[in-house]
Amino acid sequence: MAAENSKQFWKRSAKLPGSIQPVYGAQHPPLDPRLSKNFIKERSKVNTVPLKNKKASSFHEFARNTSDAWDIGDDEEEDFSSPSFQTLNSKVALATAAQVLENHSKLRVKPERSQSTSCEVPASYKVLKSSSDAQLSRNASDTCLRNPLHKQQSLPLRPIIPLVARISDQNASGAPPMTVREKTRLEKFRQLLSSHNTDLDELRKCSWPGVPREVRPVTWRLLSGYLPANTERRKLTLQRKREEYFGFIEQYYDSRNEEHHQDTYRQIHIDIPRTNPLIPLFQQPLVQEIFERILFIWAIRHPASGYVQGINDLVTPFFVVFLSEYVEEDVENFDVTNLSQDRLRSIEADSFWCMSKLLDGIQDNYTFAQPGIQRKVKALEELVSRIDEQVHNHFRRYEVEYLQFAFRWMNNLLMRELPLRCTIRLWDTYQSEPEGFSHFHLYVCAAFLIKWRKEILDEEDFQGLLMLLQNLPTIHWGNEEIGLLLAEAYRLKYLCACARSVLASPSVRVQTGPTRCDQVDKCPLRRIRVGREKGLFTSPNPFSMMTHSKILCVNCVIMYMGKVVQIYVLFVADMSLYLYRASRVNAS
Amino acid sequence: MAETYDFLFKFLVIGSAGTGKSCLLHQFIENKFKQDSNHTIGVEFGSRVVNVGGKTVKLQIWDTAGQERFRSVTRSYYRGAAGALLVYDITSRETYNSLAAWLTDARTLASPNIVVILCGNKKDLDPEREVTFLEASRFAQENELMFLETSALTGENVEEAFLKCARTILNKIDSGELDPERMGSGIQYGDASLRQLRQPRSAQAVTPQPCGC
Repeated sequence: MAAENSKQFWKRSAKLPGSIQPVYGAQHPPLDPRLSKNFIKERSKVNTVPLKNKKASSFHEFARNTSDAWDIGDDEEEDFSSPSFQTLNSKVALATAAQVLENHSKLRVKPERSQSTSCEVPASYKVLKSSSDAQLSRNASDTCLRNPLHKQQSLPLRPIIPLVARISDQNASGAPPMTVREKTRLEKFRQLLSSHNTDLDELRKCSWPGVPREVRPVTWRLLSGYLPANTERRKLTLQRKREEYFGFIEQYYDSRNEEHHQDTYRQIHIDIPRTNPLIPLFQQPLVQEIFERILFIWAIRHPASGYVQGINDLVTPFFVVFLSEYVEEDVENFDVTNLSQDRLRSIEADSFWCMSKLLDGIQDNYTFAQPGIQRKVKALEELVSRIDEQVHNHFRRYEVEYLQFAFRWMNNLLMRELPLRCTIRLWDTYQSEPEGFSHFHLYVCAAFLIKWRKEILDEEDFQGLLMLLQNLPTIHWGNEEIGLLLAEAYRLKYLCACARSVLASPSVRVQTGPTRCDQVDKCPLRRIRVGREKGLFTSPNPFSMMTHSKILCVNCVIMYMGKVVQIYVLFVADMSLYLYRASRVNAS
Repeated sequence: MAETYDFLFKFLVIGSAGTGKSCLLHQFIENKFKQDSNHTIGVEFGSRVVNVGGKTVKLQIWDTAGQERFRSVTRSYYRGAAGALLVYDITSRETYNSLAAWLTDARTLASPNIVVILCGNKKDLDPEREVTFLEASRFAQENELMFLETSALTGENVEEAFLKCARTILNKIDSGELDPERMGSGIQYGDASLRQLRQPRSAQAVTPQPCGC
């Protein structure tokens, strides 16, 4: 039964080998590394001993079974359905299930310990699912999360819900209907927001999977750091900040036609009518004047960057969200002359301050030579080369440079690539993530790129690739797609965080022999040997022959293996996935 | 499946912000005016195959952002461009005044031999004109540029601008003035020409024809 199921699991999950898989559990707020240390110790103490033998044998078995994974002409289908994989996976599955259940029960007892390190959240998609499932189960009581899977705990037996049919599957799996769940979620938000001192960590956690429309304006003001957590101080702060903003207007706005500000104002002035040209709201003169003021004041207060095209887009989500506080439906077509002067002024000032907060974190995107963007585009390239070699090589083959398409992704935070409603949903999460706009965005971009891997690989010339990449068909996208994108980004983020800690970890010995010196810069991960002294690995090091994208994945888990034994099993599972991909690449 | 073509030319569209560069490109590629044009961030890409003087030429066109801050990025696309549309707005003297700077950029960063056509865009807005045809054509002459007034809205002279530029490059190739095989020429042979045209081209190089411009 178990073997049967695990076979099913592999078939499903590896349907598109090497492709990005949905990670439902990852739609969870990031875990706090500060709280993790004890938890790891606790877990490793409990788990290491009994599972050790089993795991070691799993690995040997695994190594035997995959020794031919690099042979050219390896058939992918056979690879996965081979009997050895089934045995291996059944063990994997059982061990994982046992572990998850055990952890879960522990979490129940000590909910305050449920936070774990970045590296505790495993990198492989399966791992991630299991561990965040434990989290989900805990949170099910406060129904802060929308994840439809939270009812199920025996992970390996759980069917993977297909991407397209997710909503119907929610109902089929017996989850409460959308409205009820949303109501509880909203209730939770209301509670948090109205408490004397809003718990911002909790608010971030709840906001990560999306903020209900009704409470989004106030939640965004809080998350951006514009509003104080203390309810009593809010009213006064708002009043003071709004007055301060209009003070700036009085003081500076007239200078827009003076010589030294002329260029700035002129540029803003010609860009505003071109901002969201398809949305009627932004064609109204009153709205355009608001945008001009916001952008001009921001620009002259930040001379290091000044106004850069793209910043105008960044006002939009704030403006729409704050406007939605007063408009019941169809904000995009709302006539702002129906709104009182006071309310319009509040929207304007709040948009200004929240946008300023956002830009504070990404100002080097817009300073001279745009170093922030250059850096992030490079980082994106590096990341993609590790997580999807095939796409990366495809770009190289047709001489597509990342800067050619990703510059705009960074400069406009994907706003040009996504419908506005999606950006708003995306920003729920960006504002809940530490360094969401400056750092997490990189992983979202990577996930976004990989999302189109099939379309990318289908294009076989430079022209086709560029045209595709600058016109990605996201017009129909909604919360569902963004949720998946964010889940994948979250997975990637932890993958990388883990890889970094492997390198930093004292339990990892990095070989520095001269024989492969030439590869040091390219891939330091290559020479890592882990755990040999503990007798877990046979020599020669089975990883030495892998390319670095695989090593990255493997290492994430190795690190766990040094500390938390349970992960070792999952490492094997994950590794087979990646080995499988590698053989496929070699074969083609 | 790649189309067959004799040559591939790399083109640039440059000029100040808001002069209608993207709309020119859109009109050229899609044959219609882009009503909802948003400003270009960094560089955008377009491509079209045209027939010039009996040759099939694939134009690979890089449409650059006009704002100064993007220059560090847009400049990296100049290298190896064979032709450029230098665009100003006939209703904005300021965009005309910055032409010299754009031209210097193109000649130093792309190639001194880059074939540039000056486009006075928004010809349809004649009542608001700030730059006369005469002074612009004088500027063009002084700087050895071809010149047209265009309208991305009506499509007037848009196709001509691209074709004229391509034709000039072809003439220069024929005359031997441009060597497609030189690195960074912005010109590549297509499949068709690789097979058939190499021979005739080197034969022509012996007896150079006078340049057409």
